[in-house]
Amino acid sequence: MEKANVKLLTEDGRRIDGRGLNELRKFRVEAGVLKNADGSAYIELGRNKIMVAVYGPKEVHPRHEALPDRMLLRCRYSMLPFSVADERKSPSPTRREVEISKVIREALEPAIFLEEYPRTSTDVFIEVIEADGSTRVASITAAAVALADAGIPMKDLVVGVSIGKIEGRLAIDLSGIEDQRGEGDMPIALMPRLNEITLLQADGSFSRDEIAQALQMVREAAIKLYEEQRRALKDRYSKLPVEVEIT
Amino acid sequence: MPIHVSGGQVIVPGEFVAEGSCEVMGPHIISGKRYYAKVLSVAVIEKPKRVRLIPLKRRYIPTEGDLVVGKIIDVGPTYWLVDINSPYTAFLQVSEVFPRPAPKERDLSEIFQVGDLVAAKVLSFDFSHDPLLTVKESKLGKIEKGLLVEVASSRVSRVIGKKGQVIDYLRSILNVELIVGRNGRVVVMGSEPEREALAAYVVQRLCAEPYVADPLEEAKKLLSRQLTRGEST
Repeated sequence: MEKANVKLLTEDGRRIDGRGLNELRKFRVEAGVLKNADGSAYIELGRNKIMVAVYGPKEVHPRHEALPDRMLLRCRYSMLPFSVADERKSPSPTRREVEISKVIREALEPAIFLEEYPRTSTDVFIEVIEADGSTRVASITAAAVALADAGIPMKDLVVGVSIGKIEGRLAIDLSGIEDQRGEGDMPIALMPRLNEITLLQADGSFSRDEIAQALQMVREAAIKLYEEQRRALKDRYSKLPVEVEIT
Repeated sequence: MPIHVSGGQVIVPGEFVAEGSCEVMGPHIISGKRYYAKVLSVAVIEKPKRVRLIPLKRRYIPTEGDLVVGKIIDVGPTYWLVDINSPYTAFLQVSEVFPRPAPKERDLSEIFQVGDLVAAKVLSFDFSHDPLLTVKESKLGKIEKGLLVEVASSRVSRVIGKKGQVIDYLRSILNVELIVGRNGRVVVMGSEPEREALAAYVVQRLCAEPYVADPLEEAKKLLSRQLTRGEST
């Protein structure tokens, strides 16, 4: 399929939305936004709006799925029908959503002390309210906050950042159009303190040098998101209001 | 400085707490000589070289000998299933209710029905088997009346206080009995509904804050504020 000619990068290195190559979109993270969930978080990354709810640790249903030596982590990534620009998305899980649910689970698992609660389960529900590229990494960033908010023991928070190639140059945090029209993208999740990578996918071709450079750029961007995650959790509980219910 | 956090600070998982020769209490990870937090918690500096991390949210994990307040959720042929506000559902076996030999062919729902509250003790628990409960001790068994207050299980110890001082205080002032379940369920029983409600309020408020330095003082303060307000109106 031939791509329409869209200029993603100006001569002076500005992107379609005016960002530089190693500039993240505007972001905001909030923790503990839902009352009914054990832990929750909300993230805005550019036009992405994602809500995450965590339930657990709790008893496993169905029971036979319980693991004798560790906690079962289940993730469900799902996009709301109005989350995408073009047509209304069918609410049934697509092949893509099933895959993303799996990779998110695998990106979060290394950070959690699963063995502390054997024979239990924790469910992570990720709802994409509005999508504009890099939703899987934004979901990971929010899910880590929601897990911490639920009191799940963790080694570190997990931060997701995407990087891609537009007009032959590496660019951090791809937006929807850059993802579609660019030459490749690489979602990466990592634990910043431990400097361990928990997710690395790639679409398109990258040279060895490009990958090394990409990882460096991702690390720098991840620190900013990591600070925001910590701020969100601290703010939520520092001004601990004594909850007064007005009836 | 061996301790890198200040008192009252919220600590997120993976955050650097302290290093070198100091004591870190509460859930943490040690890597070399550095201490990191494991769960979302609040730091309390207890001594110049001791920091305690109090988890903000934590599911109750049964421990042998704990007094818990359970809710019957199912009646089996020789046991009851009890919800103890934990990821693990507890069993209460007939042999732990009656002296041996247990009466045969008896409808167990005559003793505890679904929905009943029981005060029980954790007989045994390891992570590979569900916890077993017993009611074969004084003051254990079905809870017939009272107000149930649900609080965070990680904060319930302050309702007891040092050597049960808070319980004793509430009992002496309000004439109420308290059953404090380690699983975060507290039952307040009193002869007068107002006093019951007042005690329930104190319990709830005591557990609302992530950290209370002196639970007894706090309880006194809360109660006196309520009592003076009651008199003025």
